[in-house]
Formats: sequence, structure tokens, C-alpha cells
Amino acid sequence: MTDATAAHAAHTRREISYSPAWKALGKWAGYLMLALIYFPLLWLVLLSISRDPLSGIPGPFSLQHYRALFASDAWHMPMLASVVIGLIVGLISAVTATIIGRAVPTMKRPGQVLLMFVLPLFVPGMSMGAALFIFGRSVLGLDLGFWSIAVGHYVWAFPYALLIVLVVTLRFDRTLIEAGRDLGASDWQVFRDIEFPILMPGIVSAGLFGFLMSFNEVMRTIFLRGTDETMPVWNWIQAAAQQSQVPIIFSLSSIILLITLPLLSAVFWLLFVRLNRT
Amino acid sequence: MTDPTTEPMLEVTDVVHKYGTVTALSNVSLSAQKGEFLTILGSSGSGKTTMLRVISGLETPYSVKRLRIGGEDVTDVPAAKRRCTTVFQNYALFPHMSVLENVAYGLRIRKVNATDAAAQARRALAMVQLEAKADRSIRQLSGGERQRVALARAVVTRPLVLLLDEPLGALDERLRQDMQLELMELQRKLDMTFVYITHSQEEALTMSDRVVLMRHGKIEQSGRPLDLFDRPQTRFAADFMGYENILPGRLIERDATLGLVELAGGTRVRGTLTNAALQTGDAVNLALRAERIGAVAAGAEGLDGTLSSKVYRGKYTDMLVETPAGQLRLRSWHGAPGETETLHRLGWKVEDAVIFAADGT
Repeated sequence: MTDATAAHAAHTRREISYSPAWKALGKWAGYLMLALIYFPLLWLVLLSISRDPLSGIPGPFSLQHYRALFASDAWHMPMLASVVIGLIVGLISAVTATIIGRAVPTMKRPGQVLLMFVLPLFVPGMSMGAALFIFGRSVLGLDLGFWSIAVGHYVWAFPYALLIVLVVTLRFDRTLIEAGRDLGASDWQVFRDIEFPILMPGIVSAGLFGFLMSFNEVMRTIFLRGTDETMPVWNWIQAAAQQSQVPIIFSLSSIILLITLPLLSAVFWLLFVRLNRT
Repeated sequence: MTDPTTEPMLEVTDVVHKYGTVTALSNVSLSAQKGEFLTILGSSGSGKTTMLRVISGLETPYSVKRLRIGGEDVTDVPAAKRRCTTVFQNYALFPHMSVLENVAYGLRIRKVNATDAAAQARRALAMVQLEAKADRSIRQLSGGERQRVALARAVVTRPLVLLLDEPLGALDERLRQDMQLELMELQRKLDMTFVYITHSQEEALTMSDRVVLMRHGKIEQSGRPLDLFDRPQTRFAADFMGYENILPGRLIERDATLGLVELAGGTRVRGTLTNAALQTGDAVNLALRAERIGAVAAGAEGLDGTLSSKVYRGKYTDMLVETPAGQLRLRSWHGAPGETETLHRLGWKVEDAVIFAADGT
């Protein structure tokens, strides 16, 4: 190969790397990804209002499965269990994440502690579930049920809640605390009047997120539920059983989707829109 | 109990403070009278902000012999219970409250009823010409306006001592000069003791009744602004107060106030002593301001020199002159008589040349 052809080859290679196709590829890959996420969800909602959802094709449309869903009470207990566990986990996550999240910015070297706290995010759910199962059942000899589910969910939800609270505590200006004290406020008054209102969007988001993490959890629940059922576990059992019940699962999943999506939107609005205004 | 009219409003004796092994304050003492404007001047790391935090109670000193505000011992009193408030460098306004709520916060904490608190807060805002913006949010205010809100918030509770931590640092030149005058007026109107922290000698000289110059956690020199400006007692003070020419020499003769100094090159010149303890034979520095040096006739007291550079700077002209005692900086106002004269010999008034001990730094 001569120098000239080598230079030419390099030149062509460079042209490929400059090609506008890359930009287009990014754009279309993005659209494809969005379709992959949202099309099945949309399809689910469409099937839930179709007469024969198991056919896989939407229409003719009917609300009969929603009627069947509201007529049945089989899903009430799992739903109640999920909501109550979710509320408890959300509340406790918000409170503990606030206490710990306020302390982190005052630490000299928060990195390692923080890493320890968020590590459960990367521990496989199966391992964590099995570990908690053995610890609760065999080591402590407890009967598994709602309480063990709640503990498992809390361990799962807490790192998220902490990360969300850290978004607000790390950017909280601590001279405001000094200003409060300087003006005569006790430490409690400073927290009530100044710190809490400013941290509030983060704390509420942490609670909502904690609720959602718990509400959606299956893997750990399977290990820790004993004989109790939560909403997603019940759904999964029903779907796996291939019973006539299945169509109402579609309706139920649609309802849950319509409830959780706005909740999630609220979290992100609180965290990123409202916070930027203060 | 001593007479309350002579009792200092603020009294700090022998405060020592350390951050780990670093000593931030070593045996600093100061006091301020009612209605006095006291400025603590120093560069960053001089301990001036630590001093302010010790007074406000936001920092607990390592040790202090006496710490009194309004005659009351506050050594063990928490910041919230001390009758002094702070205007913070970054203002530290509460972002989730309106202007009025910010100003009224101290009153609300003191359980003043809501109507009275609002009325008092509005009066405080009127004092800083911000009454019209009482219901705005903090975000809608400019830097200068935030500064005023912080001021109103700090004075509305009628503290005995107001502490100001470089409050004008973030403002632009023009606004800063306006605010200096406003602060002085406010201080006179309230007849309140102000303790003002700054690194700007200009601010210190403009506003203060008394200036305390700090360096490395100690007081370098204190006195009336003119004392510091015209009678620095150390090389650091002279440098900080803007003396451009500091010449080393030896004191060879002295009377009550004047001294004769032999400079490098053997020239002997007279100057004013700033320290009575100086003795004949001591190594000293002679300091001169660039704008207080001028051309004099041959044979008059002073130094021979040749002009080596001349820079026109708008309002004035800066010159460098080589003399046997070293290089001198001169500054003459543009358009001043004698501006175009050629320089052969430089002279100055004997009270403009100050002599202090050469302390080796």
C-alpha cells in the first residue's frame, strides 16, 4: 500500500466518523426505545377495555372486566396489604432518610458511609430476600408475614429515599441555621421554621418514592411473605394460574399504572421544578 | 455595678480560639461604646470573622476571660439569647419567606403579636427604603436590596450590638459607596453599636469611629481612622494602609516626635516617629505615600532622583524614580501644577514621612 492510498483510507474513515447518519441513528434509537417502553403499557390499557383481552388484539371495546373487577373482592386484601405496607415504608423511609440525610453534609468524609447506605441498591433482590428470610425465620425464629415484608421493603426503599433527601440537604445553605439562631430561634424553632420547609420537597418525594418502591416490590416479598399476599404477588399468581380471572388483572394493572404514574410525576416535579424556584 | 453610661456596650478580653492546631485568635481584647462604629480590618485568615462569630455566639471560643454585651456576661449564653444580631456576608435570607416575613422573623420568635410585628417590620423596611417591596419574594430582589433586607431583619429586634460581616463585599463599586453612607446614617439614627468586619481599608476609613487592624489572630494596631492612615506603627500596618514606599534605614537622631533616618546610600532624611519607644541606632523603616512626594528645589531636604517610567492612569499619573535609597513611586493628579516639570530632587513634608521599627517582615 502506498502512502497516498493509506492517507486516502484514513480520510474515508474520518468521513464515516463525521457522517450525519450517527446523529440520525441516535434519534431513531431513542424513538425505538421510547416505543419499547410505552407501547406495551398503552396496549395493556387498550386490552383492559377490550372484550377478549387474551386474544392480544384490542377491540371490540367494553368495560365488562372493570365491572368484574369491582364485583370481585378477591383482590381487596392484597391491595389493602400493599397500600398499608407502602404507607408505612414510605413514612418511615422519609423520616429516617431525613434524620440521616441531615447529618451527612456535616460529616468530614461522608463518601464511605454513603456508599454503605446505598449499596443495597446493587445487592440482588434474590440475595437480600434470602438473607432476610434466613435471618428472620431461622435466626430470630419469627413468623413471616406483613411485618417481614415491610422490613424487606424498607431495606429496599431506604437508599432511594436517602439519595432523594440528599438532593435537598446537600444544597441546603447551613448559614440559614446560623441566621435563625442569631435572630433568637431555638434549635427546634430553626428546624420547624427554616430547615424543614426548605427540605420539605425532598422529604415528601422520599416518602412517595418509598411508597412506590414498596408497592411494586416482588422479589423480596416472595421470600418474606409467609402466606400473605401483596398486590403484585397476587397479580403474578393470578396471571400464572391461567384462570378466567386473568382479564381483570389487565384492568387492575391499568388502574395501578394510572395511579403510580402521576405519583412519580409529582416526585420529580417537587424535586426538580419546585426546588429550583426556592 | 458601674455607671451604665460609661460601661462599654461590648467587652471582650483575652479571647483565644483554635481550629484544631491552628490558632485563629490569640489573646485578643476589644471593647466598643454605645453608638460606636468599630471596624475590624484584616485580610482573610486574620481572624476577624472568627472574632465576630465569637461575639455572636455562633462559635464557642477555646477560652475567654471576659465576654460581655450590654454589661451582661454572655460567655455561656447561646447565640439565640444574646442581644446582638449579625448581617451575614451572603445575607442568609430565608428563601421560602417573603421580605416582610424575613424581617419579622426575629419578632415572631420573641412572641410579638402578628399585627405589631408586621408594623415594626414595615417600619424597619421603610428605614432602608424597601417598604414597597415588603411582599416580594427574596428571589425577586437585587443584591443591594437583599443587603438592605438583611440589615432591616437584624436591627428590627433592637439589638445592643449589630455585627456586620463584610456586608458590602458582593456589591459593585458604586452601590458599595452609596451603602457606606447609608450605613453610617442608619447607625447614627439608631445610636446602636456597630462592629463591622472588612478587608477594605477604604471602607474602614470612611465609616468607622475606631479601627482595629488584625493580623494572624492578633491586633496589629488600633485607633481612629486617621491614626491608622497617617501613623502606622508597623510595616504590615503601613503596607495594609497603602503606603507605596517603605525604605529601610537606621535611626540616628531623635527628639520628642521627629527622627533623623539614614537611608541606604547614606542620605539622611527627617520623618515623624510613630512609636515613642524607638531609640537611636534602631533599624527602622521610613514610609511615604506616593501622592505625598513632590519635586523640590535643589538643596532642599530630600532625595536626588531620575525618572525611570511614567504611566498615565486617567485621573492621575504614576511615576517611578530611581534614588540612592532605592526606587520610589510617585503619584500626581492629572492636571496638577508642576505635572510636566522635570524631576531632579524629591521632597515631602516631615509629617508625611513616618518612621517605625523594622520588624523584619
